Order: sequence, then structure tokens, then C-alpha cells
Amino acid sequence: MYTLIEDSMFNTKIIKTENMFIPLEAENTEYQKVLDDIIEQGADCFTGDIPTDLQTAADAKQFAQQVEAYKIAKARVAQYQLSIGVPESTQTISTGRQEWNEEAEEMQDVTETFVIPAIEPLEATVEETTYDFDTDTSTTSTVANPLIVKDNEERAAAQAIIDATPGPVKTHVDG
Amino acid sequence: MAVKFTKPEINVREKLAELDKPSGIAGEAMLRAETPQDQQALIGMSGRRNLLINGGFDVWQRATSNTTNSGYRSVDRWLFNTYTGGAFTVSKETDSTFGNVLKWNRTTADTSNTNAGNCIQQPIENAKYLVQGKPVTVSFWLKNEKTVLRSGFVRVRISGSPHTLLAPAQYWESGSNGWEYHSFTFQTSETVALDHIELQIQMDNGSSMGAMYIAQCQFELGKVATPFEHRSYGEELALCQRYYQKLFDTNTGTYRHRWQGRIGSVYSTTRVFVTVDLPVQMRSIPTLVFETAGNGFRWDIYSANADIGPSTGISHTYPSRDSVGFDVTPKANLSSSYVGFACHMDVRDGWCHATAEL
Repeated sequence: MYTLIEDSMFNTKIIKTENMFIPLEAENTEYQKVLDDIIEQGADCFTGDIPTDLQTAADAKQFAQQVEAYKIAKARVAQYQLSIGVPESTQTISTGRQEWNEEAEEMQDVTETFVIPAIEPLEATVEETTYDFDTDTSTTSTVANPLIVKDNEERAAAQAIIDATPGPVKTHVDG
Repeated sequence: MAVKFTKPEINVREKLAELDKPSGIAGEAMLRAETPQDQQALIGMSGRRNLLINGGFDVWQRATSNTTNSGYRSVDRWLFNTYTGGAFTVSKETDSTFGNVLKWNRTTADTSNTNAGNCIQQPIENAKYLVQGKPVTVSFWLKNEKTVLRSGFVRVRISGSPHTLLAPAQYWESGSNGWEYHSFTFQTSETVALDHIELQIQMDNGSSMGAMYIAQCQFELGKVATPFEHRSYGEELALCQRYYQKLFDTNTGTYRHRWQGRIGSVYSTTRVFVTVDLPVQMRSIPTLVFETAGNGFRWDIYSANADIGPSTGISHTYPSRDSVGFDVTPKANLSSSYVGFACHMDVRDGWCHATAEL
């Protein structure tokens, strides 16, 4: 349980616990732990109401954490799905040179077009062989491709983070 | 006009023989280096190579052993990252080869987290720009008390959430009851998200009982593990005190000299102030941790030929990176005649530490 001690004579504040005095200093590790506890436990971790400046600092930290988590989750979801693969596509880039176009009678940018090969989807299932030493027999069964299962789980977890992200955080990142 | 010139004869066989110099691969690399900086990087012997503090396990301000599972518990600058299952003891040992070493002794198995825990780790302050996109090399000596084969990972990661690895983990193996030298070179990521990085060395996977010993741990830039960089105890202690200082401890003799003779002032009948200068400027304004068991941490206070203590409480503290002020409560019903007087203050009971760890 934290208590904020204020000294009006010297205009100083410090957070007190049973055996610690924690300065209100962003670089201090225990102070960051105080902010984490405010984020997780709210007023339950403080004697009385949470002081305004601490609540403001905790809110700012939580916002920054949500921004980071949202960016990471978006990047994860943007990766292609292993079960679907990626179709062949092309990309056209400017070479930085210009040539005279006879028909248009003007100088035009020279471009190059690349073909980006398709990435085939992974097999939906794989065969898994287990060996029983007691009976000296092996059994082969068909199971879902573990790479696809893991990919889907990670995508779902990332999507859950995106769905739970507050609107102001999305606006801050997406503009 | 005809110009006549002569050209010395060249014995091609002799010239080729001259090229067969006994310089070896390292020598050839040195010859091919284009700048002095390249040569220095190849040698890797310039000063201040070890980015770790207390890599020789010489400074143990908190305690010389611990059985607690996580956090900073005994040896300075080294953090224990373990799980609550099982049990182990970490202690300072004196080895005939290396002097001070760290002993990690597993006494109860825990196989619940074989791929993660049971590490010693050290955060390295503001190492981001030093290491990003560069090769770094970790080296240490390891001794396995048993002859059973044991292994663990070594990895470098961002210090802070999320703990992104800066390079794939590498693994040590040890199967003999003798000191073995290990070195690992990592090519770190081009981008490092946070300022601090940390080195993790897994001491056991939780399942193998017995002790592992580690000595002379070094983390340096470059692809070459160079000889361990020795620093004096005083220098190492000062480096450690940037992050942690044991201010007072009446329970042990080591810090007794810091108990006595602080000069304070009686501000009022309920407030006495005393300030303690710190021997080393700390990384940030520190947290003060003090004893609460028994009488707790308290001061003796003397003024005008009278005992006006011991303190009955610490109302407030005023820590800065260079000093710590205490606002303590003198004995009850103090006469107002003492107000404005100077006082002599000694630590009477308990301990008080300042911590500014990463």
C-alpha cells in the first residue's frame, strides 16, 4: 500500500510504503512499479485517493504501452497468413532516369516492373508418427499443420489486442 | 633518338616465396585492415572493454549469499531471474584459480520453465547506441560440480518490456568437473527499441542438481573474446554504488564507520533534520529502503549534553543523486529549548539502503 507524503515546508513529495521511500522520479525503477500498480490495481494500491499527478503519469504510461502494443499487433496481423499464402504480384518502380517518348513527344520517367513470386500456402495437415516402445508399434495420424496452428493463434492474439485498443490510441497511431 | 633503359631481372620464384609469410590468419587480417580503427577492432585490446560491472563477482554489498528467487539479492549489479519452483542458493566463493566466483547451487529441482528461468542477468545502462547493429562477444569461465552434462542459454535482449532478443540465443555445455572457458559472439539487431540492454546467462535448466560456478564474465564489442579486464576492488565498488549503496547497517561490521557522527539540527520539538552525503553520485534519485523488524531503522540524537533520542519515526526523506536527508522524530515531549540547536546523530538500530537499479 502506497501513501503520498507531502512536505509543504520544502514543497516536496515522496511515496512511502512499509519499508521504502520512493521518489517521484521517472528514472526510478520503484516509481515505475508504482505507476504499474496504479494501472493494474487502481485506487486499491493507495491510501486514500490516488494523487492527481500520479494518476496523470500512470495514464500517460498506460497510453504509451497501448500505443506500442497496438503497433506490434498491427504489424503481426499485416503478415501474410501461412494457410493462405500470397498470390503472385508485380511492382513497378522508377529507375530515376528519363527517356524521350516519341509518341507523347516528351521526356518520361523510365520504370521497371518486377514480378514478386507467389508464396504457396502451407499444407493444411501433416502426418505425425508416434512410436510405442511397449508394443513396438508405430501409429501415423493426420493432424493440423502446427505451423498454421501457431500462426493462427498469434494472429488471433494480435487481433484481440487491436480490438481491445481504445479509440484514442488507434487515432494517435493511425491518424 | 633511341632511348636505352635497363630493367633488373626478377626471380619470380623468390618473390613468391617472400609472400609465404608466417603471419597466420589473424596477421593477414591485420595487414588487410584499412584504418587504425579497423586494426583496433581486430585486436580488441583497448581499455574499458568490459561493459559489465562486477563481472569478476568481487562486490557483494547486499549479502554474500541468497536463496530468494528473483531480483537483486546479493552480488552487485547481477539480477536473479528465476521461477518460484524448486530451490537454489547463490553464494560468494573463493576459488584457487580466480579468487572470487559466483556459486549457483540447485538444491531442489524445478522443471516447469526449462527454456526461460534460472538466469543471472545484468542490465547495461545506455548500451543501445554502443551495440546496435554491431557484433558483441560474451565470455566467461564455467565449472560444473558434477560430471553430468549440463547446458544453458546465453542471450542479449532489450532491458524492458517487451523483452525483445537482439540476436538468437546461444548455448553453453559443460560436462566436466573443471573450469571451462566459453565465448559467444552475437550480431545484434540494427535497431534497439530501448536504451538499456541486458545480458542473460542461464545457470541451469532446473532439472540438474548440484552447483555451477561462474567467473570472469565479460561483455565487449567486437568478434573477439579478449582476456578478462581486471579492475581494482575500489573502482568496481564505486561503479556498483552508482546503482546501489548500503548506507548504514548496524548488523554487520563492514559499514560501521558510517554510523557515527552526523551533524543534524533540531528544527522543532517534533522534527530533527540530518543529511548524509553519498560517496558516489547515483544513477537516478534513489529509493530508500530501511529495516522495519525489531526497533527498525532509527537514530540516536544528542544535543546540549543531553540524549534527545532515539528517533521514534522517520517522517520524510529528501533523497537526491548526491545526498539523502532524513526528517526524524525525536523523543516525545522534547523541550522547546532545544529548537535551533545543532545535534550529533548516530545510527542506533537497523539498516538503510539507497537503490537506483535499472
